[in-house]
Amino acid sequence: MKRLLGVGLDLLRLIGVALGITVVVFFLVRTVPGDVVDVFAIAADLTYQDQAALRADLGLDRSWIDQFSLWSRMALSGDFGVSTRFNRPVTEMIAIALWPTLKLAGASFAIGLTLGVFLAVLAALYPRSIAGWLVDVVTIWSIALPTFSVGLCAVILFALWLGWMPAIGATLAPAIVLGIDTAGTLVKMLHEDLKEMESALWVRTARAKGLSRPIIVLRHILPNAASVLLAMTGIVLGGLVGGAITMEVVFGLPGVGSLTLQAMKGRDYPLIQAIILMLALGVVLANFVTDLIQRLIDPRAGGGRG
Amino acid sequence: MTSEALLRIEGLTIRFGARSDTAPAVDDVTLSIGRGETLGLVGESGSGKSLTAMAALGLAPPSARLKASGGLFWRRSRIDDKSEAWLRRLRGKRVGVVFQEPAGCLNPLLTIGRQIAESVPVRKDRPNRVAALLGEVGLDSGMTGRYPHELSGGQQQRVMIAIALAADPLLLIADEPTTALDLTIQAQIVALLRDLKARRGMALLFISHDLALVSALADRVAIMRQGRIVEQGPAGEVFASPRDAYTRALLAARPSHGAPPARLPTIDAFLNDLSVPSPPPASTIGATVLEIRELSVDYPGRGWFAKAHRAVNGVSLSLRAGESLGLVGESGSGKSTVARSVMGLIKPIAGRIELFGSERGAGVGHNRCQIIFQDSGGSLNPRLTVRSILSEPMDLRDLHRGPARKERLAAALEEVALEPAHLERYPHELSGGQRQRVNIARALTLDPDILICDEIVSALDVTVQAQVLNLLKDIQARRALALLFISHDLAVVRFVADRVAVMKDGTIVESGPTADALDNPKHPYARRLMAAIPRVVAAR
Repeated sequence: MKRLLGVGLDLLRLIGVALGITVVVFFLVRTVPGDVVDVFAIAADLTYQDQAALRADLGLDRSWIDQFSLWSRMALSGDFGVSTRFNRPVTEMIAIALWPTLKLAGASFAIGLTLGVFLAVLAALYPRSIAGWLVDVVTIWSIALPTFSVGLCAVILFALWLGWMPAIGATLAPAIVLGIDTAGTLVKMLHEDLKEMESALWVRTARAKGLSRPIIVLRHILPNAASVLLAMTGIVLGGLVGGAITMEVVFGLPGVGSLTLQAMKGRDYPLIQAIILMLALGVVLANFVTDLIQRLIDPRAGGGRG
Repeated sequence: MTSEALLRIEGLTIRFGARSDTAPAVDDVTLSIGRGETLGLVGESGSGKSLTAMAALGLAPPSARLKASGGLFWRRSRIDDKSEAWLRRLRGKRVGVVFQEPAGCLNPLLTIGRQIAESVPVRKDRPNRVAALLGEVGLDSGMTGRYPHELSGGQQQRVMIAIALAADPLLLIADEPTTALDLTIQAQIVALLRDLKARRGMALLFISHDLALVSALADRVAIMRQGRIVEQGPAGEVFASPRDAYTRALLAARPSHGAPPARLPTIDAFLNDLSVPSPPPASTIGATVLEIRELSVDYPGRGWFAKAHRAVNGVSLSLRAGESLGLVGESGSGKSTVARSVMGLIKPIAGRIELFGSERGAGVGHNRCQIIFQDSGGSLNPRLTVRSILSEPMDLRDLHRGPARKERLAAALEEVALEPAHLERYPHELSGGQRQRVNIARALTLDPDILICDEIVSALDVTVQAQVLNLLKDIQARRALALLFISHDLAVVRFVADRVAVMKDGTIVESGPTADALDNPKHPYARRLMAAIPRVVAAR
């Protein structure tokens, strides 16, 4: 019971972090020169009177504190307002954009995790094989090549030259690009961790028992590396959010990433605010879940008996 | 000795690194263990005793280069030309191994039941076999579902023994199996090993630095030093009349359990036939410098609602100038916590600590009370030279600037018997004993009145221990230091301390003059502790 309460308190603390991020962003976007009325003014040639009327209508003439209290009161009742630029409910716009992004991020994560774990384990099992070399290749790839440039190359190669897929709209190609990038951040850490565990005393015990190499690696070493893998997963999930935004723009996918870009360009405060709150909550929750899994799999963390 | 040798090692030499002119870690070692026989392999750290045993099982580190002029044999088959798969079968079925540090030797994520079951060769009836093995090593068979961290150190070592026995081996190798364990637990494990050996009739290779332990178990003994076997023979003969000077030194360097000698004989004195210099006269006992009254310390638990752990519970102690007080107890008894409270490193929740008559607080007693810790290497910043390490305390207090500094440093080194050349060395270039001398010198740079030594010789070899203890005793007498000497090792405390306090579970259960407290303890725990001390027995 107490343990459950502790978990609940951890969760509350994390939600507090997410709310803090939202507050900071609220004021930060307002320090950027120009607002949505300026954006309209460029396109529609509004007079100063028109602009002032529009600002008053949108509440942008009020103090930031007033704007914040209004927004937070509405948000608490579940109303995130209407996009100032597109004049549609913010929640509806995000709901439509969410699915393609989840698909992309999910696929990238699956590819990255599978590739990363597979390569790291292979390199641990056969230290002098090509697997060890591949670990380095994927790592350097992800450090040296930004996803947008690899994404652009993929668009040029597969869509323009080979004509295998439509230049916009395919999920697989961006997922692979992002997946390799994700694998690159995971694989080196995991591989180093596996190598380090080779010298652990309990590995010596396993060898003294006469166990075979695959059993030592798969049954003893790999589960012990799970904690590092989980910690990395939390970081990787955060990175995937940023990565998905770039990939959506490069591949022209209609996801949260594209939506964010449009919202930023249009100084669409309600939309920006809602997206940031959602992303912050998402990343924080992902970290909470990895933390929870960590406690469940490691008997020492107090999740198991005793 | 016996008709057929189980394990035979003939002329084994092991080198690290590619060059053949480097000093070998194991140098031309010849050993054999017969059926049902117990061989004790004794030596200090780095003598090559563990490496010899591991190499015979194919468990030497990959960088080790083995050469056996006469070959390595398991019964009649040569080991050294066999495949890894063959060696694996040897390790899994014929030879069981128990190591030091059981806490690290068990996989933290698997239940002990699964870890034992892994070593049971036959698939059928595994749960019953595991339960029977747990019973055989004195554990409850209902413990199969426990994880290693839920067990005490002694229980963990019993699990390791169960793992080693799972395949009914002909030979059990026990590599320092009790070294990290408390005294009373150590005695239990040794009794268990002796019992198992007798019941199963298996051979035992018992590797240890502790002569007393080996004498309690072994039929034959081999003494190793710097990779070589210096003496080998029946245990009774070796302990009763050791032929080699090193063996004699090992036997003598260990502080004894009778009346303590004024000085411990050192290895150099033995090997080079030097006479033992006489100690300075004991210092006179002065005024009370440290007074601890009803001290209690809590450690907070982890998590939001975890209960605090009471590490020290109402401890009262006093220490006078020129006096040495031994604080004894097993791990977790709270002795180090007392020391850290005196240093102001932890805030107690109740009680008073008075230094030189005034309550411990900011600015009181910093210079005049110093501490030395067990981990001699970890206590020294690896990126500083000995000169910087010794200068730092003086720099902090802005003391002895300019030419006076040079004299101070020279005097500090001389006091701990180090050479002026050591000033420019880095910690990793020094031996464990030398590093601990640097720690002592650093603690003395500010001329403290109180010196706290927290297990300072526990990680050192017996012969090095003797040197450091002699040194410490000399310094204490010369400077009339008030010494708080914390140790789990009763023999060491007997040599150093005038008075002794025994701690258990955060309280003091026995205290008094050393001879009284250690020879006629009143508290049952103290009595159990004294009974558990291993003693060298020449004949059994």
